[in-house]
Amino acid sequence: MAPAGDRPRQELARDGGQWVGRFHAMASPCQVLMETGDRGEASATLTTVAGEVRRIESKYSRYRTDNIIHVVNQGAGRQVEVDAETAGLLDYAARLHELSAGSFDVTSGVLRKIWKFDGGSRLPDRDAVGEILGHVGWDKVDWNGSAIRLREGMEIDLGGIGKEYAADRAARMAAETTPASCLVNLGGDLAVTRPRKDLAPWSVGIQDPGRSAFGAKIIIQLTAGAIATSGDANRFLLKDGVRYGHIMDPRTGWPVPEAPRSVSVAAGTCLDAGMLATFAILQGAGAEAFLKEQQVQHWVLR
Amino acid sequence: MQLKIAASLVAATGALLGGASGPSIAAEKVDKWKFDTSVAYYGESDRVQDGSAKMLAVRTFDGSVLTLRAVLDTLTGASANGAVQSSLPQTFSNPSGGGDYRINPGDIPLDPTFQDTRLAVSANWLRPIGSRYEIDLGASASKEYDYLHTGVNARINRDLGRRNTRLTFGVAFAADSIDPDGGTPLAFRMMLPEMDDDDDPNPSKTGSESKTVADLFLGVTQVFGKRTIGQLNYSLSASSGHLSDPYKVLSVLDPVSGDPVAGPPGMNLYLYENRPDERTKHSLFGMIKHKFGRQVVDGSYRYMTDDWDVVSHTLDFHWRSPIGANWYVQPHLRYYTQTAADFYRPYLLDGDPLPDHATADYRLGDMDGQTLGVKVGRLLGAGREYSARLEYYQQSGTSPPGSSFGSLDQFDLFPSVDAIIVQVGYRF
Repeated sequence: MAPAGDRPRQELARDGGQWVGRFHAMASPCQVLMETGDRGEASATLTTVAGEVRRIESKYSRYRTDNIIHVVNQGAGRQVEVDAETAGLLDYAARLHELSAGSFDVTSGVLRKIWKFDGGSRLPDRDAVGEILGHVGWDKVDWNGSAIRLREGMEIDLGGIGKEYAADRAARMAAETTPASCLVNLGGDLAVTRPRKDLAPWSVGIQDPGRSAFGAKIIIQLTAGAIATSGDANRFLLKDGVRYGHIMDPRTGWPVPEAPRSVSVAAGTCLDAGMLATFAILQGAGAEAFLKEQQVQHWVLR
Repeated sequence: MQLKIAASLVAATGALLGGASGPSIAAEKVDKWKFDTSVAYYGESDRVQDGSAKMLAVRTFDGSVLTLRAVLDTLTGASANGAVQSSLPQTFSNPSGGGDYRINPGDIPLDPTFQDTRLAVSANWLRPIGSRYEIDLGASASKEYDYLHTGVNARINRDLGRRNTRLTFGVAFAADSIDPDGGTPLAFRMMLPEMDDDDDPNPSKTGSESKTVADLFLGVTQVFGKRTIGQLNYSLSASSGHLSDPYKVLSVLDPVSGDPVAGPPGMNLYLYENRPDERTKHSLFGMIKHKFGRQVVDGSYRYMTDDWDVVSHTLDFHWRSPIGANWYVQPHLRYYTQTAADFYRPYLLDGDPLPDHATADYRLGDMDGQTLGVKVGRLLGAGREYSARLEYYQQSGTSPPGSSFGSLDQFDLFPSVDAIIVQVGYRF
C-alpha cells in the first residue's frame, strides 16, 4: 500500500475482457494493456513492467547523482569501469554514431548548456557554440568495451535511447511473465509482446505529436512489433521567423535545419523504430527520402 | 546505399537486447467515425413535454475533424400564454386561428395547443493551419413548423508558448424567420376571436417576420500542470429584428377590481406583447476542471447582462467519480438566477398609457432555477459508453412588488414550475 496522501505507484483497471495497468515514469504516462481476464496475472505483469522501466530510469537518468551516468560524467579525465548492461548500451551508442555518420551522438547533451528550448528567441552566439563543440563528439571518447574515459567538460546522456530501450526490455520481461499478448506504451513509444489470440491489433490513442494539448489523438493499431516517435513538437526556439527545433546536429552545434516536427516509425523493436525516427529527423529536409530508402513504415509531420 | 542502415541497426539492437525480434505489423487507424447518440425526455408537470433524439458524428481526416450534429425533438403540451389568472372564466383564441380555448376561474392560462416538431442540423469542419493555428468553420439550420433558423460560424484557435495556452476568436451570424399560422401578431394588437383576418379592415397580424443575431466570442484556455484546465470567455451577442414571441399576450385589468376588462365579443382584452427590436447581451464565462486521482470535478460561472436590464448568474458543478473500473457516477448541480427585463410586467392596467414595450413572459421575469441531477455511465472499452441521466429542475419566480391587488390577491402570479429530464445515451 502506498502511504496515505501519496500517489499510487501504479493502477490496474479492468477494461472489457482485459486489464489495463497505468503508471508514471520517464516523465511520461505509461500504460500496459494485457489480453487476460486474470487479475493476478495482470497485476504481476504490471509490476514487472513498471519495475523494469523504473529500474532503467534510475540507472540511466542524467538527473540523478546516484547512478552510473553521474559517475561517468563526474569522472571526466579518469577511466570508469562499467557493468555489462551499461557496456552493451555504450557499444550500441558507438554503433549508432557510426551508422549515422556522426549525427547521433550521446555526448551532444552539453549543447543544452547554451541552447534553451523554451519557445523563446534567444540564440547562443557563434563563439559559444564553437567553444562548446570542443566538448562534443563520440570520437573524443576513450571507450574500450568495458571502461570509458571522458575528456574534461564532456558528458554522456543516454536519454535518446533510454525510453525505447525500456519499452523493449519491459516488453520482453512481460512476455516471460505472461503468455497473454501485452502492449507496453511509454508515453507514445509502443511495443507489443506477441500477437493477440485473434490477431486483432491493439488500438492505442497517442497524442498527435504535432498538435497541442487540446488537440486530437491519433489511433495507432499495432498487431506486432513496435512504434516510436521522435520529435520536437513542443521544444523549439523562434528567431526572425525561423524555428529551431531541439534536435541538435552535434557536428555543427546547431539545430538540424528543416527538421520535421515529428517522425514515427514502425519496426520490430522500439529501439529500431526510435533510432530510425531520430536518424530521419537528423536528415532534416531529407527525412522522408531517408525513410523511404530504409523501407520502413513511417509517419512524418512537418 | 543507405538501406543497410536499417539492417545494421536491427543487428545492433539484437546484440543489445539479446536475440532477434520479429517484424512489425502496424497501421494508423484513420477516417473513423465516432458517434454519440441519446434520447431524452423533458417533462414539466402539467405543461410542456418534449421528447428528443440527438446524434453527434465525428470523423477525423488526417488532422482535420468533421463534426455533424442532428437533433429531432417533438414538443407537446401546454405553455403559459402570459395572461394572469382570474376569478372569472377566460376565453382565448388559438394562435393559429383555429377555434378557441377556455380557462377555468383560478387556473393559470395555459395554451394547450402547443405542438411542434423541430429538426436541427449543423456541420463543423476544423482543420489545423500550420502548427499553431486551427480554423473551424460551420453552418447550422433548424426547422420547425413556424420557424426557420440558418446560421454560419467561424472560429480560430491559436496555441501559445508550450501549447498550454490557447486563444480562441470566433464569430457567428444567424438569420431566423418566424411565420405562425395566421400571421405574426402586430405589437399591442388585441387578441381577436377566430375570424378571417383577410376581411379585417384593421388587421392584427402580418405575415412572416425575421431577426438576425451576430455573435462575437473571445476565449482563453489554460492548462495548469497535468491535472487542471481553466477557461475564460467573453461573448457579445447582438439581436435585431422581430424579438417578440407571437404566442404571448398580456392581460388588461381593471385597476380597482383586478379582473380582466372586456374585449372583443365573447372575450376579455388581451394585447399581444411587444419587445424592443434590438437586444445586446454580454456574457463572461469562467470554468475550471480539476482531476485528482480518478475523480474529475468541474465548476463554472456565467455572468450575463443585456440592454433589456436582464442580469443573470449561472453556477454549474459536476463531480465525476469512478465506481470500480468500468462505471462512473456524476452528480450535477446548477443554480440560475436572473433579474427581470425593464419592460416586464405581469399585466397592463386599463386606463394607463401604453408603455413602449411590455411582456408578461415569465422567462423575462425575476426568477431562479435549480437543477439537481445524476448521471451514471458504463465504460465498455475502446471509447464505447452507455450512460443514463436523471435530473430534477425547479424554477420559481417573483412578481414585482405591489403587483397583487383586488381579485388577484388570491393567486400566485408566478407559480413555480417543476420538470424532470431523463436521458439515455450510447457512444461508440
